[in-house]
Amino acid sequence: MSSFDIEFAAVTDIGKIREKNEDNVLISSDLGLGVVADGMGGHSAGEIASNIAVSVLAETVRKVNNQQLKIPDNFLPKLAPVERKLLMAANLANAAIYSTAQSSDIYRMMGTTLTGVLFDKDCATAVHVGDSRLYLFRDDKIIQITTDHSLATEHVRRGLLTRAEADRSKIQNVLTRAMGIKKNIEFDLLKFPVKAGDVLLLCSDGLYKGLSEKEMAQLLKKGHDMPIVKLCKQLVRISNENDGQDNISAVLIKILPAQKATFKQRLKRFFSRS
Amino acid sequence: MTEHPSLVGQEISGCEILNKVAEGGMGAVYKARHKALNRIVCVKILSPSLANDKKAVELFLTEARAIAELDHPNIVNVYNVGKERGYYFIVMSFIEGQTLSVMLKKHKILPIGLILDLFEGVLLGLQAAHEKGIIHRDIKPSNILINPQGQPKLVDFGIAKKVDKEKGSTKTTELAGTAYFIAPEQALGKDLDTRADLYSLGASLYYVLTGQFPYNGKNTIDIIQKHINDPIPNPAKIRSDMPGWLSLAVQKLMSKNPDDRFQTAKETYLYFKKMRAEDQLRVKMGNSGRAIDLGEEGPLRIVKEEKTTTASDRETVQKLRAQEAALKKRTTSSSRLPLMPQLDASVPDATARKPRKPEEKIQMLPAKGVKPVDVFMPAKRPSFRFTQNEKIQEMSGDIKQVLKLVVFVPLFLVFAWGISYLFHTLGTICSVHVNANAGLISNLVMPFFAAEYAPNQMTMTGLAVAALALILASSSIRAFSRSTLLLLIVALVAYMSGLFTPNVPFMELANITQFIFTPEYYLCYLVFAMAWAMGLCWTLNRTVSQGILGAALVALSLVLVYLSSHLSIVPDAQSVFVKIVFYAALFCGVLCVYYLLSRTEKENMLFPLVLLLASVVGIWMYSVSGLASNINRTLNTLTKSIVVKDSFSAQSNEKMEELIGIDSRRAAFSSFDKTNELTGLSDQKVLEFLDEQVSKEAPGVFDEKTKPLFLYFLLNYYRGGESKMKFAVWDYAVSFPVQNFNRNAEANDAYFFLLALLYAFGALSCAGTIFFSEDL
Repeated sequence: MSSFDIEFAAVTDIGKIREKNEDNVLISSDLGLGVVADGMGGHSAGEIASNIAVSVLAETVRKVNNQQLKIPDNFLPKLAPVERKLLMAANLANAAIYSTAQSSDIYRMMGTTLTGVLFDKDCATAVHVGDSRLYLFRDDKIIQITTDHSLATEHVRRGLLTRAEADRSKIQNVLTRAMGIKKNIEFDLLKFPVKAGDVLLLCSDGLYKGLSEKEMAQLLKKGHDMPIVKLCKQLVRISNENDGQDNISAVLIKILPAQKATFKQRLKRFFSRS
Repeated sequence: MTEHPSLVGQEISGCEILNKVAEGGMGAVYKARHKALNRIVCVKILSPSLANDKKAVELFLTEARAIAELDHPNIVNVYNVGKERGYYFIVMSFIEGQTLSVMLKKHKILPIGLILDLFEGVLLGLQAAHEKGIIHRDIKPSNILINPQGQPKLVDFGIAKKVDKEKGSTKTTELAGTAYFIAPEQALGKDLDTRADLYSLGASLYYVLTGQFPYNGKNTIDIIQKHINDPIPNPAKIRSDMPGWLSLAVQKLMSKNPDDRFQTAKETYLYFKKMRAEDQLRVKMGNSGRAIDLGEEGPLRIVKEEKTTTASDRETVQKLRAQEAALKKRTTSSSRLPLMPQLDASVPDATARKPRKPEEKIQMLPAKGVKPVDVFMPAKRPSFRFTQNEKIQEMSGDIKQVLKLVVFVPLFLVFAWGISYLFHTLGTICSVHVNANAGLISNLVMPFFAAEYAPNQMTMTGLAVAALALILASSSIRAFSRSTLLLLIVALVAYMSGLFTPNVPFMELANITQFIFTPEYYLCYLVFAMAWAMGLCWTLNRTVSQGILGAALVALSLVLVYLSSHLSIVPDAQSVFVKIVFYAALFCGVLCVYYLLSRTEKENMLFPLVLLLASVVGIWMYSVSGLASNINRTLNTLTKSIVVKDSFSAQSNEKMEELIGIDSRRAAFSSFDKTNELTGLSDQKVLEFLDEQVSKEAPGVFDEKTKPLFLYFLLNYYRGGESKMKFAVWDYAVSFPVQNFNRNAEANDAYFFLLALLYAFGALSCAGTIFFSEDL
């Protein structure tokens, strides 16, 4: 597992105008996993898709951890075990959604975004598809780790739109990649080292539509000493107050120091018995 | 046919469904027979997955009604719109024949005349729709149906697309419009007007003329972005028999900027008509209209026609070159950033037009005045400031810590000193109640249950309780928060020092150097090690080194327990109970060590504490079990041989009950009846009686020292039964090493040595807590 102490918090809110919450979040400190999925599609299919996404992902990771499930040897053998585990879980989740979508007419066209992060040793491995985001808050600066798979972002990447235009654009909702739409999809896999003091924020598009990165950074900075559940709720609440047009979900992950510490820190901890 | 298998053969709005023709994202299209008119129609049914979406339904219906108003030969006719049996439907005319794309695939190359005929029809239909304010949004060859008479009909009138757009924030993986024919503004998600349809029409025309898509790419995004960004392709390069004006018209229709296109379908239509007439004329005059040079002649003609768009077409070729140049520049010229954001913000392809529009250069001028500093500073300034602040904070933090150390550590020492002095005094006062034969526990507790209190004992007890409350309250002070347990131990030790060595002055440390390695001092080390080990057990988030230290301290405590309580009498190995206690204690000790070492067990701080206490107590009990069992055996034989009659009071009670006639249940409780003939007597008389009895039963067994002890145990037996005696025996046995300790402490100051150790440890702990308090 991770070489840090990791705190997780998750909040999801229906927003102001939606009739149902199509987002799904999952956190598991046992697995060291945090996931956000934002479903789409008519009827209640969106929430079903996102539900399948998070549950299959977590279940697969758990099974692989418990050795109830073995990753096939020929499945991307060059990648690290964690990456293979996460990618296989994401692929299985996609297959599950796709087959469900094909099984019945009411599920047709359903899909979901998925952004999940799995911790192992001193690294976080993120799997990402769609327009949910993973932010890293470090040294009072917030960085977006994932790239949205939306047409607007593609345009920004090619310099066809500015970032500001893209944020206002109608085609922000047009996803170029999503789970459940095709049998095999391409996932973004990102691996990055984390350190104590980092805060990771996984969120659906509802959150960042109501909160600019600057505001997020301010809130995260202010809420440094706050319990992260409270902080997470605050983020969602403020975003909902500002926008609230969509479902809002946030998963907040705080990396706390565990054992790798300087002599001073070790001394400090030596005396800490709260 | 997964959608409505039941629909085939059924009736909707007086139409009998015959078979499914097509299926799309919005729903399915069926061929049907209109019963009343006996006519083949086409029924489009909204997908049931969208039937609950109010907005989708509303738009499905409004759009259909709008098209129904458009009675135009080049637009498919709508007969009926509505909802029946839960299905939203549109009844349209059924067109035999094929779509333009199918036709193209069949024939590979279509004659230009035919293509223009068809597109003129499409333009007329489009014009009619645009006049009603309806934008098709998805003009493509497969949406142009050709009936057997060769008449083109526009179908799929923006219904699905408009719904998609109106659904707004709902996510979708499909962009309104087909990638191969999508207008740049549509692909950029900007507001659309009717000119977007003209772009798509131009792209369709390109495709039909050349058999190739204007832009092709790896994937949809690639294609879409080429529509936005790539130079307009020239159809004449692929199809050489194309009149120059047509090639230019296609390129004009496909202009990135809507302002550069033909502005209406009508204008396009008229232009086509006019140019074709001119071509005809030229053919009649013997001049073939082919292979006109693009750069020279083409633009001139358009200039005549289109005053508004003169500049754009004249410079098509230049424009292409400029675009290419601009694109190259764009990728490399990040160093010229100050100019770029201004341009980017307004129009995506503004750089493409930069060379040929002088007025834009004027717009660019102010941008030069923008200082790059403004762009970069906001990101850097705060971080710079922050580092400074941090340093200041750090420095002031250090000063604060030193100040805290100076204030709180002496305060702690004074506090601890006061506490220990108070409890020492209390112990001294209480020392009059100490019974040399009684065990530690009864000696510690009994002073407060004595028949008669010593002078000032009550006052001091009250003060001591207040001091205990103060110790507990002090845990709310951050600096002292980690010393509560230690202060409690200090209070206990000070109380014991006063209780058992009342004649030694407080904090007399003169003799300690001589006794450091004596067995009595082991007990001091034991208490010290246990205090530390308990502190560690109490700690949350232990590190590995801390765990190892804790484990070592636990092990040391166990060894010290054995050493300090180990008597010359071998432990009672006969008793199964004692063995169980020993192994359980060992197990607890090992478990405690394990918990201190394992990093996973961070949350549970009480558990190792309990384990440590249990194992120490267990091993201690095991060590003294030999002594206890010896005493017990002797006492058993004694109690069997000494004859004590039942009490008179009990007998009198019996008689009384019989006299009054109460049904006595005394027999059932006889084992609890501790009354006997000794009950009413004073302790002194009972002891005399027992002394007599013991001397009679076991002459010469006890000496002067042991006799009072055994008489004390026997007194307990006759006053409280066997269990009370056994408790007294175990209490004695367990505290026997402490009694030795007490006896020697008079001379070797062991209590004050222990107190000094605890002070030092307390001060260290307090200082550590203050120094690292920021992190706690």
